[in-house]
Amino acid sequence: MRIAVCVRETLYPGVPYEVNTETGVAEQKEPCPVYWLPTHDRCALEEAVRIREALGNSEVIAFTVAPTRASDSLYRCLAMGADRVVHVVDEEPDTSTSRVVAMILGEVLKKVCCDLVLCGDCSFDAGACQVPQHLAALLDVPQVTRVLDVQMLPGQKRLKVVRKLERGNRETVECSLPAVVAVDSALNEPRYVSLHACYRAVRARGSDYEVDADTARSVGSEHRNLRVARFIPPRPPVKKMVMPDMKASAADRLKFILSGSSAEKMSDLLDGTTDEVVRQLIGILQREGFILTQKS
Amino acid sequence: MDFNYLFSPLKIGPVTVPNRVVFPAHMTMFSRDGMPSDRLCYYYAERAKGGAGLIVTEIAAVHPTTQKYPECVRAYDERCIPGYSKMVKLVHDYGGKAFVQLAHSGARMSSEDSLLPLWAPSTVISPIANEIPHEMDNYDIADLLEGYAVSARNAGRAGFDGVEIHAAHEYLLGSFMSPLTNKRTDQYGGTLENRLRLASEVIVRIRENFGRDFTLGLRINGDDLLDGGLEPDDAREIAAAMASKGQIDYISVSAGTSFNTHMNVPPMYVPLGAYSALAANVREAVSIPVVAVGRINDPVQAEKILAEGQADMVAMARALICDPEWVNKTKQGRIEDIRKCIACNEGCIGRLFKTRSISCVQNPTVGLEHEISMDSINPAATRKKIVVVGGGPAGMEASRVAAMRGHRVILYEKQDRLGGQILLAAKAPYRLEFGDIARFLTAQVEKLGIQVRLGKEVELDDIKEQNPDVVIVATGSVPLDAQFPGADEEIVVNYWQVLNEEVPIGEKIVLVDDTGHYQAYGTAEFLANRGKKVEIVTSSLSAGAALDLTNIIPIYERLLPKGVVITPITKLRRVSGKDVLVYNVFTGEERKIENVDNVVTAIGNRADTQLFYALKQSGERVHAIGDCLAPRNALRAIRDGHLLARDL
Repeated sequence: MRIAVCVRETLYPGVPYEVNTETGVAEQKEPCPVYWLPTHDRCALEEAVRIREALGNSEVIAFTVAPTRASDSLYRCLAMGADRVVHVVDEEPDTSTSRVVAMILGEVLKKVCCDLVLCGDCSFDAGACQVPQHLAALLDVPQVTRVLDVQMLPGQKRLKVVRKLERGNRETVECSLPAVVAVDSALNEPRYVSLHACYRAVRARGSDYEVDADTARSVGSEHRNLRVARFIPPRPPVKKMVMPDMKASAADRLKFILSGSSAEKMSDLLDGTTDEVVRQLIGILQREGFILTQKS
Repeated sequence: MDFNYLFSPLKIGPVTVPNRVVFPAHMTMFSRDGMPSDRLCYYYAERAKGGAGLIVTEIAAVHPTTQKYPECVRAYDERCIPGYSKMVKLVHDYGGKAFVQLAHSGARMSSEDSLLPLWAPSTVISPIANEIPHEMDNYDIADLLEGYAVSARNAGRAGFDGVEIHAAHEYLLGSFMSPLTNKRTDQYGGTLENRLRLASEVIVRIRENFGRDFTLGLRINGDDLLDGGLEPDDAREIAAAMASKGQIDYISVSAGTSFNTHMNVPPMYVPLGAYSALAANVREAVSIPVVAVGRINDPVQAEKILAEGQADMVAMARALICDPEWVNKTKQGRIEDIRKCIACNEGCIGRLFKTRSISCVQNPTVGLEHEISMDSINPAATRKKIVVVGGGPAGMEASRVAAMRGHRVILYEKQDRLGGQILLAAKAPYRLEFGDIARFLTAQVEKLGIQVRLGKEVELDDIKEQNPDVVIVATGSVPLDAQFPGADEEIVVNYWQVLNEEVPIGEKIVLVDDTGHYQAYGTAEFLANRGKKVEIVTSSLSAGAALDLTNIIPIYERLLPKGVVITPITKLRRVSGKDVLVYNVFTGEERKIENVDNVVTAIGNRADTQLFYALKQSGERVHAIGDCLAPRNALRAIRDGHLLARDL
């Protein structure tokens, strides 16, 4: 069985970033941008490797549509257990919308003939959650998303998957292969890859690391037609707050501001001799129910 | 904590500011002869270095009739361009943006310096100078517009990123907007559209003359807080009308006029963030960024204002005067290291009212940035052992700076906590925030690893034992003993005894005031709040002789309704038994106040110099600072300590 895993590295969110006010794109300036392979993608790769280990006689190929710098993530994929990686070089990632990425992947995957395509449900940066759907449409295969559990049905080319629905509900779906399965990050615990393993992958670089420089360019520029027209920073709506009564007099508005916007105070200042004040106090306490009157 | 909104950049017009913190326009009187000076340039550079995203420089005069001080920069004179260029370059170097505030003060200034008539829409007298202004005619208006045009051109050539037009606080354009001050019947008065006409024309002229792309902002009042003036609903209409023409890029919302000038720079008794509601009110009506101002001094508070949509930017003048590194410290997560503005107004606006350049009670380097900026506290050449006696503001500041310079500091304080007279001052009603000085200094003293010995009244021998290289004596002062006849009567107590609640106090009080400061008025309010009947007797012409308007007006506002009687031009003759004899300073007429339960004296302090002179005579290298040198106030005490420690 041939399993394709689609991955894409993004900016690592643990490093402080700034949003460019012209383009709305997150940028890491100091000291340099830091990239990582997001959890969803790792889960997808982990699942593929596990299926291969269970079935035997299978091949796991990792694909990425990304600029040249993404090679590091691919070595990590090799270290995690992929048999081969294909780096589809796309030097214009900013104009590659979900559809464009899916088109490029579709072109590549059509030539490869996989039985199963695994990918992450959602990307960490744009979070559009559209690539699996576009890809499935282009490959003309079924798609299942938000997957929490994958089981190969023995002896058949079918999968049984558990999907995440809203409010904690789950749905079990049976799906024939080939199919596109988009996994949630709760699917599994991706295996830990030691630095040594990554080194080994880099040193062993050979025919298992393939670079495809043409497919991305073959997707015409008429498809890369999404442009940022305007970026508007978050403008929180005015939260309801205690404001001075606009109809009150200036003196009252001033008093309101000076009192820390507290509502009209209703307080009594008790006056008179000590006896009188005490009598008034007892009356108040009785009225408010703090003390009970004794009835003889 | 994540300050997501505070540190997100914002595009206002064509300019992108790196964060939401604005150092808004405020008079400093640092310029010289109507031109921006080095002193002014480095003052702004310090705040840009400290991280402020946007600096709006102090008002620049657009016409000779608005020369409120000789130091007011003349934007209409092109000789201001080199000074301004230097200022802009410094701010840009530190990553900030620089706008200039162009303004005409109208009638809310004194003409003592310009000796020209005040210009106003109508002849309504402003209490600022009690002068009758000249009602502007069309020739004056044309002249004014030309002034704005020339100023804008100069600002453009100087390299500013933008301009802010001042139409708040009843400055000229604001006084045209308000029906209280604008009684005109021509096209500049009457309907709202007419009253906004001048501001609109000014905007058009500035846009035509600046010379390149820039950001234009407008400062308006969210509320005049005055009957007959602009109300919050009016502010919404004005903001919507001015913003709808697409000519302005942001609106800054303040409050108050010259008739309630203490609300322009709200003092301590005004709650934090008092005007944010007014900014929110305006923000609902417009879609351009809105700037909130007024008693904002805390990062969490600022973030909340932004997150709750009350404003898009927060303007903090006094907070950044007090701690220029406010933004940097917030970014680094060192919020407890921020020296917060207490809005005492004594160092900043208080000095402006006395026509002096500004300073700050807590930050003595204000105005001296070109010589001793915050990051010029350099390590000392030789590490010394310094004993500081007295944990009040002077002693703590000296210890703090000395420790920052690498000295080994031991601080003695005879009370069981640090703070000195700051803690006493904080006991007066509405003065609790004054105690923040002690909070900051105490926290810094602990952080810097200064050895503190509390509860110990130190003697000469204790110090000799320590074998210090330098001794700093900051033993402060104590209340003067009254000298009038009957001062030893049982009913006579001093204000320390009252605030520290050391003695029982009766009902009818006569308070003798020679200080003109909160020693008297804070104590009077302390007593009035406890239901006492207080009469303040002072030989000054009015209450609060040592205070500025922003503090005097609230004193009257709060004390009079509580039944406190303020009797000026009156001195105490003698006390006998429970009778107090006072006399009028001018006529000599006497008056007997009978059945007085207590006479509280607030007649000043005397320095506690005993230890200082003992040390000096014994040959130690010793310095006296703060009240120990001469009983004055917290500003001088902190300044003494700071400057001394820089030199050790």
